[in-house]
Amino acid sequence: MSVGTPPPLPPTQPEPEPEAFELGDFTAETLRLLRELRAVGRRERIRQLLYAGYVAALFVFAWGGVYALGLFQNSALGADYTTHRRALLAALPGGLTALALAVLLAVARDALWRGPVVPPRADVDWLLAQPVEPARVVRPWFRLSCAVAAVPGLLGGAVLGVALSLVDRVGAGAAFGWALTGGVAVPLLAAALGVWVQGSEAAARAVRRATPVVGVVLLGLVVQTGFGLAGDRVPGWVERIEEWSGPWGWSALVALAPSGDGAGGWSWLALGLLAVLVAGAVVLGDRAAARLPVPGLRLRSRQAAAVLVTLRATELRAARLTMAAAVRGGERSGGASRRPARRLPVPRRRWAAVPWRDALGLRRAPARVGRALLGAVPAGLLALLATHARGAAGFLLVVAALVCGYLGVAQLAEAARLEADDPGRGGWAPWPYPDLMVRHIAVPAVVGAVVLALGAACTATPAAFALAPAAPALAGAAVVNASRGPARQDLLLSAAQLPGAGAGPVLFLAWYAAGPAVAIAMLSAPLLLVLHGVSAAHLLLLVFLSAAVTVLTARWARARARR
Amino acid sequence: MLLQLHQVSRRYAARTALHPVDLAVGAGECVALLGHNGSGKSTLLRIAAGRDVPTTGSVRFDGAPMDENDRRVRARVAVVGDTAAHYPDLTVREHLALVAVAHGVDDPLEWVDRVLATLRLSEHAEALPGSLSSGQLQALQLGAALVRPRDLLVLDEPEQRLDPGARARLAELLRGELADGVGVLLATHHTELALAVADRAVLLDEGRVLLSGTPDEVVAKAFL
Repeated sequence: MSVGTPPPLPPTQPEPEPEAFELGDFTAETLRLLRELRAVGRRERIRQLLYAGYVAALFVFAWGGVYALGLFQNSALGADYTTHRRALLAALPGGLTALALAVLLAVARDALWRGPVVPPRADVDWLLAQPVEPARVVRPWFRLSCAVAAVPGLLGGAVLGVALSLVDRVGAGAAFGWALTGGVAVPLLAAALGVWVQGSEAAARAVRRATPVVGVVLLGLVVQTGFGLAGDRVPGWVERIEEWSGPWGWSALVALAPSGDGAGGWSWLALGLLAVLVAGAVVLGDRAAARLPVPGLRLRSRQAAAVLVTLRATELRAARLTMAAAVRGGERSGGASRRPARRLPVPRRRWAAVPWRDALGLRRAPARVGRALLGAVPAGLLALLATHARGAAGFLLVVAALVCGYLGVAQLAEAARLEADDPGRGGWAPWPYPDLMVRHIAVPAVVGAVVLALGAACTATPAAFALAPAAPALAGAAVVNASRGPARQDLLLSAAQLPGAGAGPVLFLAWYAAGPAVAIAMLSAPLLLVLHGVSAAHLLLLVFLSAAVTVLTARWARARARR
Repeated sequence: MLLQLHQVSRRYAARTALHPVDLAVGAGECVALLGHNGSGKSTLLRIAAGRDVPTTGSVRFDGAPMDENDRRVRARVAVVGDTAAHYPDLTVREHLALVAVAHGVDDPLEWVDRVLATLRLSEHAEALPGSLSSGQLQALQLGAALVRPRDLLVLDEPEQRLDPGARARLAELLRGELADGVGVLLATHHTELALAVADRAVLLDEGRVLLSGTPDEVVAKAFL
């Protein structure tokens, strides 16, 4: 082995013979030196983390702990929360199973481009490029991910413990003990699953293939939960199948063990299965983390850093595109290119060019329609719940239904966002850019109405179909948002004040979500009227208002696009 | 041969970044990869350094499969790639010391000072990366490759961001490496650098080898 020698070399430089190459392990010395060199900075970082943890704990205690203590106090003074018992116990088995499944899916999807083991770029570029033992560098990040993941699990468990204690009159010790156990198990399992996906191309392929299936199952569970909250419970055997179908169900069984609907002795079996699975998965995850390939770690570390940069610049669209590109980059070569291109007949009329282009986009990315349904079905369920609710609760449920509806319809407006990403793309069109943006409302409006109607059909509630006429207005709002241009970071730095805090984040949020906020505000009241009693007059009012909001948002989108 | 690439290609989804290529680098030999942006130089370099897996073909380093996960490879192959991240709280000297210690270099601080002097970074030795110019950061990257033992040096456009004086020193430094028996695989836009140090040159275009031969021949044909 030789060493570069432009200036005279120090006499101590080792020069072993190539054939007798001895590989020493200096990992411990390297990490010790790095710790020493960064000791001052590390103390400062730990101080900052402890302070952030303290503020977060204070926030949770002030907003959650005090509120929960108040509820317990009220209960001790005779307040009766058991009136919600039936609805809650009907909703929780499906709801908790759905939540666990959603967490596992989200972490597995995240592991397609990032994963739970992502050392900082400096570690990758300066430590892992040297012959140090990667396991010593990488394992702490897996353990940190597990610890961080456990926190929301514990918080969720605590919320469930409070709910069961108050609504089902379960002893606090049992309620919290079981709920916290179920709550912490899922994120730990998810972290281990993430490492597996991160290190295995076969696992990553399986996650990609399973995503639509799991999405449909999740949708079903959400529907079941919504019906449960409305008082309609699925047959017991369906719940049993869900609960015993895998660790997502076992965690629900464990969390609900002390409730009136608990599985009795079977809960202990579920606990045993879950404990063995989680312990095994974490141990295997720890071992798998140590074997993650260095090039993959480098790629993911860079991808995560790139997304963080776009997020810091509050360019959420850019962050999403970076993530999507990273996920695509992880796919095996050739797959997408071999798929035959789906076509639509080319239109003869000039006006049909943009709708044809948008429809073609949806035809070639049918997952967008699926994702739109993921918003439309909860929208239908919330509309169903709103039909039973009165006063502020009813209004909030309608707003939530419209928000879900908007999130669904906005999935269909990707063509408008692509146009806004690079206005030069519209050079082919005979219309100026602002007019072009307005023309992108048509297809999301029509397809969105169909999707919202399908979401309503899932609830089997005629009133929920009233969401469909709102689709054009929501599509207009989506195009307003697509036309907003670069992030207005100046708003974050605004000197305006709200009571107790700066108004910057609120102003930024208002700018960011202006389109849907206005549309939803204008549609909520008429939609609530329709849901509370379908009459021709109310329906006509809703259709008229939706048309008015569509015109308003179209003009707004045009004005924004002109800037 | 120190490094041997046999029918190496790379596809990314529908795009072929590199068509099958054969390449070999011996000890004390410098091979320069020339070509415009997107010609496949960096892809070939990443594969040669074991940082990417070829779609077809094989890469062998000193007779064994090239794999960055192998600690022996990381111990013997020094890579100067695109911009690296740095520890914001470590000085230039501390960055280099870390690398030297990781490789078990005896008396690492003295060795670090030598490298700093070679790269004209001595006066910035106590500077944090955030205060360095892009040229100085590039020099720091080179320093990380020089402060450690190596058999193969893989350089991706090392002349980028360097001023003319530093480029001249780079050529001198690479000649020193070759004299010491280090194999050098170099991707560059700078034909003068290739002419000054390379034994062989390969001109790539759209992932294919267009020309291969001595640097004089390749540069002459490329500019015909």
